[in-house]
Amino acid sequence: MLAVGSNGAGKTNLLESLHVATQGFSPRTRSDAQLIRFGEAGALVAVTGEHRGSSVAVEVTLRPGEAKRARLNGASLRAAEELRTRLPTLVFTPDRLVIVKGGPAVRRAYFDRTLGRLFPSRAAMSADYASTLAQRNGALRRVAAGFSPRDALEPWTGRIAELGAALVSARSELVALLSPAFARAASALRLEDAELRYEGTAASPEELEARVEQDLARGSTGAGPHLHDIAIVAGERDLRSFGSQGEQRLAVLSLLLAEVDLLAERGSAPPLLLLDDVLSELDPERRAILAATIRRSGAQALLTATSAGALPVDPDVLIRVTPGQAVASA
Amino acid sequence: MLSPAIENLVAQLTRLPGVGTRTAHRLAFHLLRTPTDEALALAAALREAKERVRFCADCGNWTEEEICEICRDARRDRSVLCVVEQPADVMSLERTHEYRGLYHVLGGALSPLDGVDPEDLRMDDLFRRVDSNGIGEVVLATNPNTTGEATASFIADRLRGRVRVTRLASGLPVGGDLEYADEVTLGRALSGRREV
Repeated sequence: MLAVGSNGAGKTNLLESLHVATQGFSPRTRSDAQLIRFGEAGALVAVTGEHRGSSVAVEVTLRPGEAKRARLNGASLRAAEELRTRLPTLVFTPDRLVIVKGGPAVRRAYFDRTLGRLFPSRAAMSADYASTLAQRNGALRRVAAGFSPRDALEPWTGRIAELGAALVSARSELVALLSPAFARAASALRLEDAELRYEGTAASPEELEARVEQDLARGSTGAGPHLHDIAIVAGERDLRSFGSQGEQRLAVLSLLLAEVDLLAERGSAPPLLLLDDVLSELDPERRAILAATIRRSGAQALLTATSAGALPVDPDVLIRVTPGQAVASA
Repeated sequence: MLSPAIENLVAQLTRLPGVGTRTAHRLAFHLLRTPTDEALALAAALREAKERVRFCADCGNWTEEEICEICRDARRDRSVLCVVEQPADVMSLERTHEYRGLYHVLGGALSPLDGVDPEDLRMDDLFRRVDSNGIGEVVLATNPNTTGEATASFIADRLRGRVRVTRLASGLPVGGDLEYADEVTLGRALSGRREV
């Protein structure tokens, strides 16, 4: 599907509302109040469609000052965010380039979410590690300030070593799995010899014990997966710092396509792809490759562009967006 | 404007867990409408409970005596000790009628962020009981969350080699469908599967 319209017509708005309806939150902002039209009392997004051969109907209701409400096939969900475990959606927006050019924290968060999408049982690993780490850092500060005895640290050191090792091995496994698919997708988009590498090793209880004085002095834990990074390289060039804007864009797109590939390989239903403003920055050849790759994947995709000519192939559905209105034509 | 007495009642009720201002108002108005003796029965029950209920000197559970009913029960197995965070957890385990050993209530879980260290829990009492009372097994039944797991591992480290230490299994709710289990619980159950 291609949504076309002039600047400010509401193309991104349409794409964002699809994200809210399938994931329960916006890819742009964490503040739900921002999703409600200025001056209105609330917002409602309702979509119907098909997932794994059966029909689905989703309704997400937003009211300022109230918790979001989501219904899937008529049944209320405990939290709107629960939708993300039911309906897979992958999104590209221009600000997603931070996955490549941003700091390590952005990449860790991105890959940890990918981990949860590919291995739902591992979705909580990074949050578990983070809450245990927060407790250990709290203990470090209390010990340093003399509020707690030294042995108050022990259980937390043991736990972060254990949870950290599990998280590092899960992330490493993910990166090893994702890297070949990433290389294939990147190569198709003419970004050659692309590769993902996990940077970091788990900290053993002994290593954590050995650096306890340093940790006490700085009031936080100085080793472990919360400081690791994932290198995104192309032909030995680190795209995090030396990639051009165009290469970084191709890398983000390739990550997304690699995930589509892996989801299919693992027998999951193809995700919904929401690609905002991706065409304008690609040359015609790469646009054609992207269109063909998406077709082949069997995933449903919504792309946005300012004119229908931006896509070198005819979309199955063309949506003309004007302020307040979107009209589809097959 | 409400009278100062009502305001005070509302303020006191708001301090209860799970009670917001609106609920507090509703409760206060309800109490004012009920007959005097009924409303005062609540006050009396509150006073009586606060005056009579205390912690068991052995296990830390609520009791009206020096030693609680479970600890006094001669039929209980004195070689097994089940460690829980709160007295409410004792009630939950007792409802199973499966566990015949004794309990040890810690009074919480380790949480530096809330200022809870080992010395703030009944840890020393626990280690003393294990050393002196011929205990052969300690069952760790703290909650399966961040603080409960750390508390369990702290105790397990201290007791290693001194006594058999076990941890409650985590897995699927009985009578539920696999279909509705969340992925994390199901994953945990899968990795902790056993031979049949």
